[in-house]
Amino acid sequence: MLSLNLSANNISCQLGSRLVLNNISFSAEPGQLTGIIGTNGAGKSTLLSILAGIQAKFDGNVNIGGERLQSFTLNDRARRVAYLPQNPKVHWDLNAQQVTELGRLPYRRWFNWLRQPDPVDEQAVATALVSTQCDGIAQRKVQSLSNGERMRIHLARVLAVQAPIILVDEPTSGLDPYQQIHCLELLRSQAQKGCTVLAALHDLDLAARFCDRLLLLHSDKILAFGAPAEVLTPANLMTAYRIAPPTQSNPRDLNLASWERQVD
Amino acid sequence: MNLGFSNLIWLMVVTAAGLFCLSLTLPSGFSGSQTHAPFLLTELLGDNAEVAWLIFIELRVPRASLALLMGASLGLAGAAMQGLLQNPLAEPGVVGVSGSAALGAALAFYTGLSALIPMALPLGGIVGAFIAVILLFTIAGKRADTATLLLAGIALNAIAGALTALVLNLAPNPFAAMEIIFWQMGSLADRSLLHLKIAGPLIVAGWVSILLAAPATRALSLGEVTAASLGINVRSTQLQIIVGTALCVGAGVAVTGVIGFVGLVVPHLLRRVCNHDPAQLMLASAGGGACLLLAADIAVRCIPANAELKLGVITALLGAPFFLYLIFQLRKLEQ
Repeated sequence: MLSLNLSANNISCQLGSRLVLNNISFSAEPGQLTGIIGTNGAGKSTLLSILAGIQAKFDGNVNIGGERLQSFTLNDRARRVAYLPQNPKVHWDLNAQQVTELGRLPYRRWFNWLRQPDPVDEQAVATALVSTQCDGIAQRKVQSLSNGERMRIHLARVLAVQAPIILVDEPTSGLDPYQQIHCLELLRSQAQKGCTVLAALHDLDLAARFCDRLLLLHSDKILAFGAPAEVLTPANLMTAYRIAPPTQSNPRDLNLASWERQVD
Repeated sequence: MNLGFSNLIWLMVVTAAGLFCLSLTLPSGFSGSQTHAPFLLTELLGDNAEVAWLIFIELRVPRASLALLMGASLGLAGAAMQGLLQNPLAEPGVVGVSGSAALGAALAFYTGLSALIPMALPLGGIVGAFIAVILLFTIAGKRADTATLLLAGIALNAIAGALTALVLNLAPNPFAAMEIIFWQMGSLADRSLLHLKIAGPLIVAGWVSILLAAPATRALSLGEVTAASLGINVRSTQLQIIVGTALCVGAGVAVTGVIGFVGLVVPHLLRRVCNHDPAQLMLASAGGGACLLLAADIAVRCIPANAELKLGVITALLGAPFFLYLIFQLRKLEQ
């Protein structure tokens, strides 16, 4: 598969009267799973939607493989960047296979919309279903599946695009621990296959465990960017999240269950 | 039962063709002067061939063709609006698009504009429908939940109803008012070749616009954001469906009056056969709508009554309870 890096240069974004992102620059490399962390409203989702080309109102530029994101046609962009928004929905009573097949839309011409998918599409869909362990539920209606199964179907849809860049927005929210780990293992294995993977995450333990790099957003800027151990320092966590480890603990202990909320 | 999509489409084409031919052979109803109306094609070759041909070309062909065009338009527009708004209750009649088109056409009629320029009639309908779709979209555009959609429909129907009442109120004489009322009930009786000529091309243009958006509605079943990430231009998809619906429903309603609920019932019946795929459903609903309206128009001519039953009255009588049933179903799902 084609490998492309993703770089954001001086991204600023103002939504309404609020400056959501202020001069953000970083780059993500193929083979790495980059976690985007930060508090609610820190701009994680906005950043991902800008990188995906969905949010067009921003300053600065996004390059994929050295080319400007805006210079691609819609289909070319969609083939390079697969995106899973927060709380994805399926509006009609489609089955898992049909949802996964929608991932092949960027490859289809508008005039053959009634034909059956060609073998390449079928192969991509089958591979995506197998690698997300959804092959057993491919014929089930998505509405009848559990949250964890649904998220895997949406991931299968993303994988079916076979894009070198994968962006996912809070894929683990609402999932049980087993499904959370499963989901991040999937993303990491995609990275290991050569994809550039970015995921917005809330669970810092999972982020520390699975991500190669972490990008910590705080009040519209990047507070820290690097390996998890460099980013998740008590000082950074205090600044961004206003949480601190209990006094008698090992400061490198990232088991956040014992951390305490700081009250002003 | 899995019929297969292409088999379904073939079945519909054959059925529609059969019903179209049957419609051509039927007189225009029990109220009409059926003694002189040729019943079968043989009369076209008989002694009175000239009169028979005139009736055939001037009355039968427009009636059957308009049934075909209008039925397909309603089915297609219904499925397209449902795909766009992601709500199975979206339908031109229910959400007030047909009513507004009727108002536009009534204005063209009332002001006498349509007597001067025949094209004013379908254009009036299109303008009315266009305003209604734009308003509907502004109110219920993003992820329309059932409540918002129905409230928007109630409001648009109320506005169109009030303004139509005003037109009737100001009508110069009771006959003009009666004419508008009867015409609004929705019927294909006594439509002329001129009606077909002025509405037909606009209706077909509307179909083209809607069908161009069909593949995109498939992506929209995952929501607008995901659809955009899959390379779909959501804005132009919306515009294609809005313009297409305004064209085919507007022009259609202008010549036939309001024929409700076809766009609601047909997609609902066909959704399962199309595996819930919004794009396939659009094509299937066009075929299904054409079959249904042709069949209904044959039925109104076969039911003995003092006055011919209006097509719009029949579809409303059958469709409205169905609408109620759908609301019950949706409420059950939402709980």
